[in-house]
Amino acid sequence: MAEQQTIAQWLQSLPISWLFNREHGYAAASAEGALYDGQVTLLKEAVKARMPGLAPADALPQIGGDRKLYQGYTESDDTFRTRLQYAYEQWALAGTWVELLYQLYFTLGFEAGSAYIVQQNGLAYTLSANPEPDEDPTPLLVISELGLSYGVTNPDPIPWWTFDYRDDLCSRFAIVLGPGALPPSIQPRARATFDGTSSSVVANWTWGWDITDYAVLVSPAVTTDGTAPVVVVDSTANTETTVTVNASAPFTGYVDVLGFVSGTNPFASPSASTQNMIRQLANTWRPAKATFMGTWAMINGNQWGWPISPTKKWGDPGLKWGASSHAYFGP
Amino acid sequence: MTATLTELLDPQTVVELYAQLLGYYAAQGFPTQSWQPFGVDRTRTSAIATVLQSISAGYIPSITAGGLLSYAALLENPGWLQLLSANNYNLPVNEASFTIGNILLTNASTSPYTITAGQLIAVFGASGNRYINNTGGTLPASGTLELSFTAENAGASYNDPSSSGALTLSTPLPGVTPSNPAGDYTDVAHVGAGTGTLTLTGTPVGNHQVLVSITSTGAAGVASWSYSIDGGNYVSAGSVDNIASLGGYGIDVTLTDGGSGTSFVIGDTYLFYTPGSWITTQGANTESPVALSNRCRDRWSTLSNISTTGYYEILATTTPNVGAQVTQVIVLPDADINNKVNIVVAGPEGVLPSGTIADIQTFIDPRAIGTDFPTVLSPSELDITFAGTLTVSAAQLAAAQDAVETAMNAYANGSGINGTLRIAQVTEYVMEPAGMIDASGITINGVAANLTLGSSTTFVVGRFLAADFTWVTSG
Repeated sequence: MAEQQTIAQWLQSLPISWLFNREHGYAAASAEGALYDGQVTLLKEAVKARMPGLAPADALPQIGGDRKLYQGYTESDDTFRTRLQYAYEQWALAGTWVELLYQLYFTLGFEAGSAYIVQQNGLAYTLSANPEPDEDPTPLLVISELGLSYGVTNPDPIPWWTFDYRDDLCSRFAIVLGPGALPPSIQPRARATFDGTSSSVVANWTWGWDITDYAVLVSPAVTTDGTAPVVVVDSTANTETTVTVNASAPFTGYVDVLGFVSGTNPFASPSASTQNMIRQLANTWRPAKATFMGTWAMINGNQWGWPISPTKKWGDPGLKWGASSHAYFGP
Repeated sequence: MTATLTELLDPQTVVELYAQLLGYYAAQGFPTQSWQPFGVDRTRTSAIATVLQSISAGYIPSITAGGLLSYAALLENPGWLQLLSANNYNLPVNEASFTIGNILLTNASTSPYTITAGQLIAVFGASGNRYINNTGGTLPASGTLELSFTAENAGASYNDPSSSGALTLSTPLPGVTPSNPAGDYTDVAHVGAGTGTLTLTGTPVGNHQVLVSITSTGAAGVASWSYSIDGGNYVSAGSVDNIASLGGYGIDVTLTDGGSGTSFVIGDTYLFYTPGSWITTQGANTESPVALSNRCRDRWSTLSNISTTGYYEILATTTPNVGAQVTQVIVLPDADINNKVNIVVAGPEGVLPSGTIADIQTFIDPRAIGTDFPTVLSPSELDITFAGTLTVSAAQLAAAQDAVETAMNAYANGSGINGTLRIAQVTEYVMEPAGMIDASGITINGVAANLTLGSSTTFVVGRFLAADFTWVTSG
């Protein structure tokens, strides 16, 4: 398509020789034409603002809201643009566990192999690899049988996930995180890297907060210069996205910190907004007849029936009472 | 540089455009700094900026917002959103609908009357609303005749209460008085092919919704049936042809065979409420922009072969002819039955007529996906009383009381199905009217805490009962 003539060019080309063939007239046409061209540009951008591939970045969350898709805290604009354009493919899979896992990955960073959906009927679902934004995740779905329930037989014990005494509601499901490192949305972390020039470093959280009065666990400083600085967090400088770590003196190395909401398990402490997003995704993408029972974050050790292991048995070597912990976030 | 969404939504001012144009002139070498105020050049520049602003400020933000549901819903002109919804989502706006109800005419005279449709206009004294009869008939001497009346205009403001005292005819017939009693029961809304009917008698107690489901085909006394009260689990009635005091609520149900064909067919449902209402079709306003935009978002769910909550939400709100009446809907999986999906709907005045519920059920049934067992329900209603101590300027007392009453009415009735009524919101509303000085001891239904209606197994909407505030004047 031929390049479109600007209004300034059009004005200057008008056959009004006494005006536009003179220096001042030509310059005035340039100035006024530039103003009109600016408005035309804005009009074009106003139309593009609804198109995910062309819209400005701050329009993407709005387009996402229209398509019931939510940009993850760490999801790039380009990735989200692609997901918005692939909304048709995503919604065609609505109501499937694979699509819920896909949404949990992009919006909340729940990664393949460490985020599961368990259904009371004894099946667990996860992804074999993290999906691409334009990828049909169906081939990535991995289905496993959960441990046997000796309370539910047919006539032999069958795979089962026990929520409570109701063994007649197989449409219930939950999200289980772990084994392995919990996603940053569940366990907000930050690393303050000191380069030897400053005793105070502002570090970015791996996942944003919706509060600033969160608590912080601080690791000892890891140094490469042989010093042993004392490090503390300046809680008065907490922001929703950053944490400030102060050292007793400049050093070279880093300090890892873990953020948590006061009064909660420091190793699995999603913000209220994150918990609400888990609920929103689960309830938006689940089958209408399925009931979401909440999220379990397995922090360490083995729980009854978890991790999935068809061979693990009562009394196996290495299994100990009380050597595990988890956090639960309600539906 | 590409403009941001914020910039595109923000109307440009004359001053901004004027400054831009001056900048362009300066860039072209014009001595703009020496242009005199009110001189030709500045005046001409100002004129261009003013004309351009009146065009661009009107269109650029609207074009931007008009392509995004959230912002289109906020535009003063609803046409932007309606164009978007109709063209991109194939969802025309639900237009306002007319209230239709039954009015009982009682003839104390010794002359019968033959009444034709459109002849009578009934006027409700409290609201001034007028209704015109859409059916006719013969009103016997010293007798009664029930006719259907339609509101003069569409909209939710025409949903007048039952048993309204000051009901008159502006087209009087000597000796004839109108009334709109509620009756013990609504009409029974039947979904299915059976020719049988339910006969309702007894002395019902309280507000209840009863859904009867036929579980095996046959005549009365042969067909098996179950019933569900207020959305609860079904209870088998066996194959009896009548039950007295259903659920202990004084509701007597008798199955009555039809004149021909199979009376009761498996899968058929019969729905009714007690008490009844004079309204058979609830009037509704034109669908609000927020509701329309939500419906557009739910449209995505129709792409899947598996149902999600959004799928049933859009079916309920898009049901032909009655979708406009559904201003509230929640979809929840049943707490006891694996494949049962509860679709709880309500209208602008709370519970919808049984016929409307049946229409929605009829629309959804053939569209249920897989093994889903969707069941359309009405929420129960909970009376809401607000209380507390309000201090107000003496001169503003009467106006403040009116404003608070209106606000509390709207807040309670707008709580939504299983919504939450908040103390903080009540405090904010009661402090809004001019002259308000203080509010303390605010309670909702006697408790100084937020009130959450319903649960995962019960469905409740609020109904305003009273604004029982203690008023203290000061100054």
